[in-house]
Amino acid sequence: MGRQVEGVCAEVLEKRRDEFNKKFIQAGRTHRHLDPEGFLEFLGGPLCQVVNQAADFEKADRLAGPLYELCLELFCKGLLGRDHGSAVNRAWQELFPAVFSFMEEDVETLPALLINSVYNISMEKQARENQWIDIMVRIAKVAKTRTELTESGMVAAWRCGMAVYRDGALEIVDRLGSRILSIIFGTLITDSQRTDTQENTVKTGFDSKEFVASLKGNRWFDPSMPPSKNLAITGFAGGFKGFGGSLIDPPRVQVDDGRIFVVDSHSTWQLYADAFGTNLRRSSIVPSKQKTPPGLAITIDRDGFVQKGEEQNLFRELANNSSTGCVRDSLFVCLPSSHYVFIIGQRG
Amino acid sequence: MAEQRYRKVSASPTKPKSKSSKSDFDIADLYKGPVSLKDEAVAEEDLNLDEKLRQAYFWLVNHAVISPFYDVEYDDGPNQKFTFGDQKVKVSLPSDQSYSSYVLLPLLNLAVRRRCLLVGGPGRGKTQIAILMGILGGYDIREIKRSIQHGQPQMTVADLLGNPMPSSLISAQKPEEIVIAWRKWLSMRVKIIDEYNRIPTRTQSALLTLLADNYAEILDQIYECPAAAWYLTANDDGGGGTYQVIEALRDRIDVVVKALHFNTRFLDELLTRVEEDFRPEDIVPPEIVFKEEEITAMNKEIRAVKVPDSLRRRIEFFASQFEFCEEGARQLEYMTKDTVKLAAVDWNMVVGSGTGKDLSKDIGSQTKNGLSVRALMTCLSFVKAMAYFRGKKEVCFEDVRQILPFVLHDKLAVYDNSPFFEKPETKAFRVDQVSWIRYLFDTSIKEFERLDMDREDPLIELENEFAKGLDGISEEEILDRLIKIERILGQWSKGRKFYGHMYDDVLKMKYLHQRYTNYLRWLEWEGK
Repeated sequence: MGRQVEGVCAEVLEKRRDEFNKKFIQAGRTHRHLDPEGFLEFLGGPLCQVVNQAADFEKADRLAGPLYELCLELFCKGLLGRDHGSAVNRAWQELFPAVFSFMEEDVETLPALLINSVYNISMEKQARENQWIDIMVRIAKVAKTRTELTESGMVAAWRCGMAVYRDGALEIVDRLGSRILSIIFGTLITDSQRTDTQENTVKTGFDSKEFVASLKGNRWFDPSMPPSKNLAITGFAGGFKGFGGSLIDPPRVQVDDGRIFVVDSHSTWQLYADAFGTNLRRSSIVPSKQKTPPGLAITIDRDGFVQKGEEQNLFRELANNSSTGCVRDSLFVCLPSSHYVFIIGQRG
Repeated sequence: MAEQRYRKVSASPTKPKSKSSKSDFDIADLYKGPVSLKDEAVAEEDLNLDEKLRQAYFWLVNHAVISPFYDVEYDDGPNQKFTFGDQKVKVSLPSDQSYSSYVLLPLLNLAVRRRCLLVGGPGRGKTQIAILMGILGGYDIREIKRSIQHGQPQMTVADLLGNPMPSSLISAQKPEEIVIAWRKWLSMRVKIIDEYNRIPTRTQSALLTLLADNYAEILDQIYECPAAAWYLTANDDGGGGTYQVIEALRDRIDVVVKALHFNTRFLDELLTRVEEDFRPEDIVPPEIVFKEEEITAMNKEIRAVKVPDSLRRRIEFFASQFEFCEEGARQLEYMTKDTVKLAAVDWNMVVGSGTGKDLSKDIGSQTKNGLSVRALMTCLSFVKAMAYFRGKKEVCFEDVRQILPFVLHDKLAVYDNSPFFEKPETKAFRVDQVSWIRYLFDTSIKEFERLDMDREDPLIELENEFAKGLDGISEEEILDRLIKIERILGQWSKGRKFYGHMYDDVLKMKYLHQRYTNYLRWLEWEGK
C-alpha cells in the first residue's frame, strides 16, 4: 500500500477525493495497465513532497490539480511508475522541489515543459539527461525569472549532448549571465567587465565574452578540455543497430548544402556533432550526390593521413576509408568495416 | 463517466505527410514532448481546416459512429488481396489511409454544403449521423433536434414552411401585407429531413423549391434561405416509402450514402454505451465544431483544389459514354437517351435491336440515361472535397474513382435488360450501384488508355487551334482546318462502330466545322 500522506497535501487530496478518483477511473478505462498501488504510492511520495512545500491550503490546492493530472498522464503513458528508475521519476523527486517557486507561478505548463525536456534528452542515445537535471537543480537556485530558467534549460540541453540544438542555443547563450554559464559548462566564467583587482579570478576562469566567442567560433571547443591545435578524433556517431546503435550496415557520409548526411541501406540520417555530443536524426531529404569540392578545410587520404592547412596527423585506424565528407571545421570518415562515423576536428 | 474518453480528438496530424525538406531543429522543440501542454490548445486556433475536417472524421469513426467499414480505399504501393468462396469474393487490405463512406461523405457534404441522402434500414444511425453533422455545423443539440423535419403522410406545406399569422390574414389588404411565421429550420445552415419518402407528393413539391432554389414561398411571400448542407434520410431508396419521391426531387440529391449493417463484433462498444448511458451527440468535442465562417472558408479552399487536365479528360471521356443512343433517332443531334425517354415508349422496343457493339466496352448500353450538367458539377465538387480532405492541392485519379459511385448513385439508371447483366460475374451490379459505377469508371479508363487518348486525341489540337480565336486567320488556314476536320470524320466513319465517347466528339467537330464555314463565308463576303 502507499505511504501515509501527510501535510497540507493530505487535506487537498481529501477535499478533492471524488474528483481525483473519477479521473483515475476514467484514465483506467483506456489504459488497462494503470497500476493503482504504484500511483497511490507516487501521490503520497513525490507529488505530496512538492505540494507540501506550499505555504497554505489555498496554494497547495492550486498546485495539486495540474500536478495530479500530469502525474496521471505520465502513468498512463508508462513514463512514470514504481518500477521506473527513469529520469522522469528523478525530475519529479529532485527537480520539481528545486523549481518550486517558479512552479507556483506557472503550475499549468512549467512541470510539463521540464518533463518533456527530460524525456527528449533521454531519447537521444548520446545525451545525458541526469546531468541536465543536476544542472537545472543548481540553476533553479540562481535563476531570477521563469524565462531565464527555461532558456538556461535549452542551453543546458545542448551542453548535455543535444548537438542538434547548437544553433538555437548559441542565440540564447549571450543572454545568460556568467553565473548560469558557469553552472552549465562546469567551469568558472566571469563577467567581461571585471576589474584587474580580481586578476586572480580572471586568470583561472574564462571571460564570458571570450567564452561565448569560443563557443561560436569552434564547435569542438570544450572548456573542460585543454585547447589543442592537434587534429584529433573528436567524436563518433552511429553504431550497429543490433548493439544499440542506429545503423543497419556500415554507412557512408554525404555532404549536401553544408549539412552532413549518413546513409545506410535503409535510411538517411542528418548528423549533428560538436564537442558536447553527436546526434543522428532521421531525414526525409535525399542528399544529392555532389562531387568533392576542391580546397576542403580538412582532407584525408587512403592511408589515413589527415591535413588541415599546416596541421597534419596520421590515423592508421582510418586507412582504407570508404567515404568522407567535410563540413566547415569537421571531417567525417566512414570505414567499410565499421558501423560508426568518425569525426575529426581541433579542440582549440 | 465516459465523457473524457469519448471526447478525445485524434492527435494532429491525422494524415502525416512526408516531412518537409527543412530538417533543422528548433530549440523550442526541447519542451515539446509526450506531455500535452495547455498552450497547445491555443495553437489549435491555427489548425488548418482540412486537418480539422480529418479530426472531425476520426472522432466520428473512433467514438461516435460504429462504422468499421473502409469502403473508400486508397493504396500506397501494393496491397494484400485475398479471395473467399466460390464467388471469388475479393478482400483487399488497403495500404494507405482509407475511409468509411458512411461517415466521410456526410462530412464532405457539410464542407461543400450540398444535399446528402442517407439510406438504409431502420435503426442504423442515419438520423444520428445527420444530427452529428448539425452539431459539427455549430448548432446546439436541442436546436438541431427541434429543427428536424420528420416526414409523415399528413405533413402539409404549412408544417414544412410556416403559417400566415391569423391576425394579418384578417387585416391585410394586399397579399404582401400578410405576415408569415416562417419555420425556424429554414434559417439553419444544416437542414435535416427525416424519412423524406413519407412526405406527401404536394408537400414534396414545396420541398423541391427549397432544395433546388433555396427559397420558400407562401401566399406570394418569399423567404430566402442561407446556403445549407442538407441531410435527408430514407429507409428505402428504391421507390418504397409511403409516397413515391418525385423524380425532380430525387434528381436534386447530390450524394447517396448507404448505412451499412451493424458488425456484431462491436457489441462491446454498444454495451459500454448502455452501461454508461451516454450518446455521442451529447459529447461532441468543441474543437471539431465548425463556425459558420470556417465552413465558408473551407468551401472556398475546396473550390481552389485543382483538377489536372489529364484527369479532366478522363472524366470527360467517362461522362461522354452515357447519353448516346444510336437507335433513338435518325438525326445525330437527337440520338440521345433523352429522346427515347421523352417519347414515353417502351425502352426495349427501341434499344433491343442490337448494334453489334462490344458490350464490355460500350458502357453506355448499361444505362437508361446520361449524366446531367448538375450531376457533373456535383462530381467535381465532391472530388475536390475528397482531395481537400486528404490534404491535397490537386485531385488524383483515385479521388474520382472513389467518389463517383456515391455521387452518381441515383443519377445513372440501370438498364436491367442489358445483356451485360446476364453474366454471373456482373449480375450483382443490378443491385450494387456502388460497385457497378466503379466498374463503369474502370472500364472507361481502360478504354481511354487503350485508345491512347492522352496522345492520340485529335480533338485536342482542333480545340487548341479554335481557342486562339478566328481574328486574322487567312482563308487558306480556315480551309486547311476544315479539311482536317473532314479527314478525321472520314477516317472515323470507316468501319468503326459508333460508340458513346465518339458522339460528343463528332458533335464537337460538326460545331467547329460550322464555325469555320461561317467564318469562311464572312471572309468571302468581306473580300467582295
